[in-house]
Amino acid sequence: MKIVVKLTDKFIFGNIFKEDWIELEIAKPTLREAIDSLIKYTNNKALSLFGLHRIFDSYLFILNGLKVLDKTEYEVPIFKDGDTLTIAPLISGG
Amino acid sequence: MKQTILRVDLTEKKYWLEPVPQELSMLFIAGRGLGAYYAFKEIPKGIDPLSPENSLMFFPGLLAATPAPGFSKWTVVTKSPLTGTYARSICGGRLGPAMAFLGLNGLVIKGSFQVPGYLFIHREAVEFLEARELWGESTFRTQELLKQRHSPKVSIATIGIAGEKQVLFSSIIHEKRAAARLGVGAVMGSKNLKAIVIDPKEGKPPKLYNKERFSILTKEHALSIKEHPRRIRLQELGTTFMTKQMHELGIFPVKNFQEGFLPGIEDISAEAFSKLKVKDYGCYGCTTRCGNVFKVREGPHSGVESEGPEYETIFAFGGEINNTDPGLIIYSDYLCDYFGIDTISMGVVVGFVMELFQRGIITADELDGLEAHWGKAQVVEALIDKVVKREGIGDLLAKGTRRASIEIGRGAEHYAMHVKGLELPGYEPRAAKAHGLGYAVSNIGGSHMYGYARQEISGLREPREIDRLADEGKGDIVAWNQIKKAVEETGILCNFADTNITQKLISDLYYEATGIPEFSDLDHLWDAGRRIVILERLFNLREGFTRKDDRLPERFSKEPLPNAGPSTGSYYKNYEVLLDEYYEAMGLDEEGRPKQEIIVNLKLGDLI
Repeated sequence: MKIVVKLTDKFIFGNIFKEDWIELEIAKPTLREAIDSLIKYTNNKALSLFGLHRIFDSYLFILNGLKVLDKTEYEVPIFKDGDTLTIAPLISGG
Repeated sequence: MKQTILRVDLTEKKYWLEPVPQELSMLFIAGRGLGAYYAFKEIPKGIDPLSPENSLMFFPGLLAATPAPGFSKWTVVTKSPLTGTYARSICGGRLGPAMAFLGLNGLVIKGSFQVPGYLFIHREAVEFLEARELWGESTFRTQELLKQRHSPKVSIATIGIAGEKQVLFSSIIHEKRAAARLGVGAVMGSKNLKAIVIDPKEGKPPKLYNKERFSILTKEHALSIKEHPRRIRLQELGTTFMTKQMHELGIFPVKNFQEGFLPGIEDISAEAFSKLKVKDYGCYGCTTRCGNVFKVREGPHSGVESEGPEYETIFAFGGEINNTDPGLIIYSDYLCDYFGIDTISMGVVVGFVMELFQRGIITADELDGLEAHWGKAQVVEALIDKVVKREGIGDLLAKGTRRASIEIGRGAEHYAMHVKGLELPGYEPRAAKAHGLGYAVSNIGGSHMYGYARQEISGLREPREIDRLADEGKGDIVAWNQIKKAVEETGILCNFADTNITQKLISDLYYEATGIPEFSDLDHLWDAGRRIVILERLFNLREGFTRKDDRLPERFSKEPLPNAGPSTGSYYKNYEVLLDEYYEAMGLDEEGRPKQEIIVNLKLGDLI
């Protein structure tokens, strides 16, 4: 299954993407699988440095630009082929 | 808990101290709570906000000058000349703690100076001093001169030229921070009050009921956020990170809320601002230090430095006016602070003018020769200058978009993006409908900070998950957010320094600070929050505001949002349903009036 991963600010991962998006092959339709695949794809440890709790403290994972995923959905099947996963730094404020 | 209000009569040049009755402290706690109470009790119905009868009030929070991080904010409360509603405008820095060091839980100013003056408040007395030589000076220069005159350690709240000229969205500046919204600067200007200088010398921090336990709580909290990514990011680049996130979701307003796509958004992203950062800045005792100073490195504004811009200013002088030059955003931010005006209202005024020009509703002749094309830097700079000096078209625009649109006529009202007269901030209502409903029912007009809908922006699932584009199921969330915010603003807790600060931690801190058992009861605090929001609504009802005023510009119900990624096509299909939901959740009747049982339950009967 292929999904599109977009970063709102690619430099938060040290410019690991040349574009601000990549197409990512995932074996299972879960967020956990997407993050593991992203780490392998980029060979970048930025994401893997955090435990599950810290990942959700640090980033927003947004499905198809509409639904912000929660840590309870980390290992739940959520993706369909062609879905978009947007990763944004968690800030929220005024 | 003993709280004290300093009362000042500028007309008579008199001052006196007054204890806050214990019952009020129990009901309203402190900070914005006391502000709501004194506004309701002391500001007579129907007065002109720019008359001496209006009160201008300053309140630090309950935990000001304590070691609790993130509680150093202070609030200005008055009747707004921009909206005619209750006004509360929050600011950071050190002024609130300086008041707390002098044992002051509030400053209530009435009357007016005959000639420009300022107040010098110190441990021994309040001095009424002349400010003729300061009148006409910028906010930055005024603070510099007053620090030279008194001490580098004094805290100063001042107005700029815009406040002196009573621009209806002028701000009060402290250090490089602003109590920006609702024209609080104009109220200060109407009183001929250039500045308030507070010297905390020889003052003492508030005595804590259980210092040891309070210290454990604050140290545990500080440790929990030291390496927290949100805190680190806020220190690194403030809220600039939000620009691309909001744009990606279709929430970033473009061209005066006409659409949701800004070509070249990367140029005003966090990545772009990271190259312009000079240093960071923190308020009193803050461990987050979210303030960032940026410097323009090239182009016509090269060399200009400003603390900020934050996300809202990037919206106001970016997407709102179709601009992707970070130099123009930084320069506009600098000018607004220098002259003392609200960046959000000023940016939305410029966007409003540009849309009228685009549609041929207003011509260059009516704009003193300005060809107000989207994103044109010279137009932005000229309009700021004209507004703060109230020259030419600036005199009309200084009244804000609501009044200006009515005077212009020709359908201009449709393009005035405000609620109750307060210009809208940088979240497209059609793409975040609880946010939009929050603007509409806010008791201060179109503000995102009266009950920020994190459920839509960062997926918060407390009290529950919501769908930001759905046309129902928002009212209870908006009420919950407003009450939570009101509780936090008794403290006064900062929106950015609140990482890992729960309602339980607030309650524990309040109890250990005061020893009042009720403050350790979350229901008591929640009731206080609701009481504050309801009393602010009662203030507005007394001024004649009704259901008809709790609404958004008609664009959001009539025009599907174009060109906004996943939010494209969204609009409010049945706004009245959402409004009814909110009224029900807040305990209001169908006209937006508090029901009798709410008045009784919240013990407001005797006050009103």
